[in-house]
Amino acid sequence: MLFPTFIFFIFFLAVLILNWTLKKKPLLWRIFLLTASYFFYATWNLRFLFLIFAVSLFNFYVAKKIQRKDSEKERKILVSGAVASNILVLALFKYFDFFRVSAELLLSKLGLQNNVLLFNIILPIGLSFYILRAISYIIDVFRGKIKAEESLLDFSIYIAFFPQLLSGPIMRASEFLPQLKDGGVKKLENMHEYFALILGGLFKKIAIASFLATGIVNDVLAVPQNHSQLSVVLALYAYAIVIYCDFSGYSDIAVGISGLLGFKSPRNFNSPYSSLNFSDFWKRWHITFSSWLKDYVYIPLGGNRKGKLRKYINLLITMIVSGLWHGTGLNFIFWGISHGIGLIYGHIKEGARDKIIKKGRKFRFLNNFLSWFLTLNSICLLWLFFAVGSLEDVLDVLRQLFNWRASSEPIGIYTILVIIFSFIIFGFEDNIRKLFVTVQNKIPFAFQVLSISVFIIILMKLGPDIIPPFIYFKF
Amino acid sequence: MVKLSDQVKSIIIIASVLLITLFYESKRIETLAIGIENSSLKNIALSYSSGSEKIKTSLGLNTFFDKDQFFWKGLKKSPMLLNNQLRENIVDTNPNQSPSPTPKEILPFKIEAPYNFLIVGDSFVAERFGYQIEKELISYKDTTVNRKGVYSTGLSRPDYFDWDKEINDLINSYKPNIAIVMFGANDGQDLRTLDGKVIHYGEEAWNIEYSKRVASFLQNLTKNEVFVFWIGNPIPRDDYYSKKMQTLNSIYEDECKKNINALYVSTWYFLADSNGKFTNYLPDETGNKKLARTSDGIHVTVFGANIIVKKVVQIIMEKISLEVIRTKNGAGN
Repeated sequence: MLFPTFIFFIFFLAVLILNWTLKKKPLLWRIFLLTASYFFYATWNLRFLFLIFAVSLFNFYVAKKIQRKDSEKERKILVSGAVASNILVLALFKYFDFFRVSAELLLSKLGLQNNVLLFNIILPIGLSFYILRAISYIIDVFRGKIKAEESLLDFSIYIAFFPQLLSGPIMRASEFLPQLKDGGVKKLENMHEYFALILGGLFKKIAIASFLATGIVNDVLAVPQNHSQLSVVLALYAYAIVIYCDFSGYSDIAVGISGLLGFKSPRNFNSPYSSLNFSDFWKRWHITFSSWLKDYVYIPLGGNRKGKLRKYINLLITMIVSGLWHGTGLNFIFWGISHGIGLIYGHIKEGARDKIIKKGRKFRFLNNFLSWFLTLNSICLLWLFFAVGSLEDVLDVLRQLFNWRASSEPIGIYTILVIIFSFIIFGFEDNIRKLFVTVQNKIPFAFQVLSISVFIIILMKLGPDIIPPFIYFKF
Repeated sequence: MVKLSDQVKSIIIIASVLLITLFYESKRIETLAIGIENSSLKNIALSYSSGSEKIKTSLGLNTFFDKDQFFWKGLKKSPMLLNNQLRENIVDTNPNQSPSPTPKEILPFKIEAPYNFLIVGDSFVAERFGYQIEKELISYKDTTVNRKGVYSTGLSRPDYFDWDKEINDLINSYKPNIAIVMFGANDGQDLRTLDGKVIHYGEEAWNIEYSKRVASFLQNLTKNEVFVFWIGNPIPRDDYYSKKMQTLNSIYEDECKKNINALYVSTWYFLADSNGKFTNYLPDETGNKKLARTSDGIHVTVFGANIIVKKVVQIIMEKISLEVIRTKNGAGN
C-alpha cells in the first residue's frame, strides 16, 4: 500500500475515524493502532510481520534487562549484544547477496563448487528504519536517557507505527512513547498544517518527482551513451530534484498523516539545497537520520573531543556508515567517503570563512554565493552514486558527460522549466505552507473542502498514469 | 450552526478527496465495475460512474477529464521534444478492424542499414531488459535506438493505455525500420471489447480476441515497413503465472508465424536451469552463480537481462549484419 494511492486513503479514512472514536478507551485505541500498523505492513508481505514482531519482542525484553542490571560490565555486554544482534538482522537481509557473492568467489578460488548459498532473501521493506529505531531505544535505555518501556504493546506500536514504518522519519522513543500515554491528545489541532504537509508531499511526489523520473532521469542515466551531454547534465540536476521530492514528499506525508492521528513528529528536511556547505546540508537533509548518526556513531567514536585529526577520521567513518546503511555496492561507499571529505573540507574552511566575514558584507555575500554554488553542484554530482547501480554505471555517465563528440538531442522545454521551477520553490516551501494554512483558516469550511478537492484534481491531472515507487523504500 | 471539531473536519476532507478521486476516475471505475461478480456492488459502481459522467458532460468538462488529454502527457510532448512531422508513407491500421488473415498481401522486405530500432513494451522494456538491450544495440555501427516502455500496460487494456494508438505516434516520430516488442507480463486478465463486452481470461474467446490484438499490433508495424522481433517472456517462478505466460507466448509465436515480416524470439529457457526449470541464480562467465531474477519471480536483474539480451541480439544478427563499434564513447551516431 503506497501513500499516494486511492487504496491507502480508503485505509487511512477508516483508521482516522476509528482513531478518534477509540481514544476514550486508551487500551482499545492502542490495540487498534498496532493492528492497523501490522495490517498496513502485512499488505506488503505477511511474512514481514514475524520479523517486526520478533524485533519488537527482543528489544523490549533486552532493554528491561539492561535497566535491571546493576553491574556496568553486564549492562555493556547486554547493550553490545543487542546492538550487534540488530545489526546482524539488518545485515542478513540487506547485505546477504553481497556476502553470498563474496563467499562464492572465495569458494571458487579454493576450487570448491558453490551451490550452498543459493537462497533468495528479500529485504523486508522498512527494516532499515525500524532497526535504527530499535537501536536508538536500546542505547538510550543504556545511557539512562529514558526508562525501559513497561508495555510491550506501546513499544510494538513505536516500532511499527504505520505512517513512519517504511521510510521514517526516525523518531526516538522519548519523542513517540509519551504521546501514547492515556490515549494521547484528545483534540486535533492545527489540522491545516498537516494537510499542507500532505498536499505538498503529494505534489512533490506525484507532480514533480514522477514527471522528472519518467521524463528524463530514468532513461538518460540508465543508458547515457544514447543521450547528449546536455541531457546528462539535466538528468543529474533532475535526479537531485527527484530524490528530494520523492523522499521529502514521503516524509511530509508521513508527518502529516501522523499529525492527523494526533502525533507530533520531528522535521526531516529543511531546504537542503540552500546549504552553504556539507555540514549545513546534513543539518537539513534526512535530519532524523543524520542526528541518529551523530548520537549513535559519531559521538561514541569520540566526536570532536579527541583532537582535530581524530574528529576528521570520525566524520569519515560516520559517513561511510551512512553510505553502507544505504547499500553495499562500492558506489555507496564512495558516496559516503565523498560526503565525509566534503564535511572535513567544510570544517577546515570554517576558520578561513570567519576571516572573510570580517572583510565586510560584499565579501560575505560573494563567499556565501560561491559556497552555495559549490555545495549544490557537488551534492548533485554525488547523487550519481545513488542514481545508478554500480561504479561502472557511474563511469558510463561521467564518460558521456565529458564526451564532446556526443551528438545533440532535442530536449523538452518543460523539462528544463520544471527543473528550474523546482529549485526555486524548494526555497519557499515553508512560506507556501504558511500561506496555505492562513488562507484555509480564513475561509469557510465548505471552501476548505472545495479548494483541497480542486487541488487533488489538478494533482491527478499533473500526475503520470503510474506513480513510480518511492526511492528510499529500497534502502 | 454546529461547530465541527478538527477531527470531524479532517475526516470530511479525506472522504471528499476519495469521492473526488472516484469522480475523476469514473471511466476506469466503469471498466472495473463490469468485471465485478456481485450484482449490487456492480450496480453501485456503475451508477456512480454514469452519474459522474453525466455531471462531467453537463459541465462541458469531458475533454478535461479524458485520460488522453493528461496535462502530464502534454508536458512530455513539449515543443522541442518530438519531431511531429508525419512520415509520408505511414499506413494507419484501424485497431478495431480484424487484420487480414492473408499475410500473402504483405511482401517480405529487406532490412538495410542504417538500422533504426524502436523498442516497445511493458515494464520489461521500461526497466532493465530495456536498458540493457538499448545499451547493446547502440554499441553497433549504423544504429539508432529509441525505446518506450510503459509500466503495467499491455494489449489487454486499451482503455488504460492504448498501444495501437501509441505505436502509430512512435512510428511517426522515430521512423524505425526494426521494432523489438515485448508484452505479456500484465496481459493475463479479462478483456473488454469496444462494445463493452467482457471476455474472461481462460475462455476460448479470450484467445481469439487477444490474438486479433496481437495481429493488429504487428500489422501496424509491418505495414509501415518495420520488421518486428517479438520477444517472448522468460519462464516465471509461480506455476499459475507460468501457465498464463505459456498461453501468451504461444499466441505471440502463432501470430508472428502468420506475418512474414515478424519473428518470434522465445526466451523461455534463457533463464531456466539445466532441467528447464525456473531458477533465481545462474552462472556467469566464470561459473559463479549470480541472481538473475527479481523477488517477484517475473522480472529480471541486470545480470538476467544481459543473458537475454546477448541471445536476442545473436538472433537479430542472423537477420541483419551488425558491426561492432569498440568504443564506449562513440555513442550518439
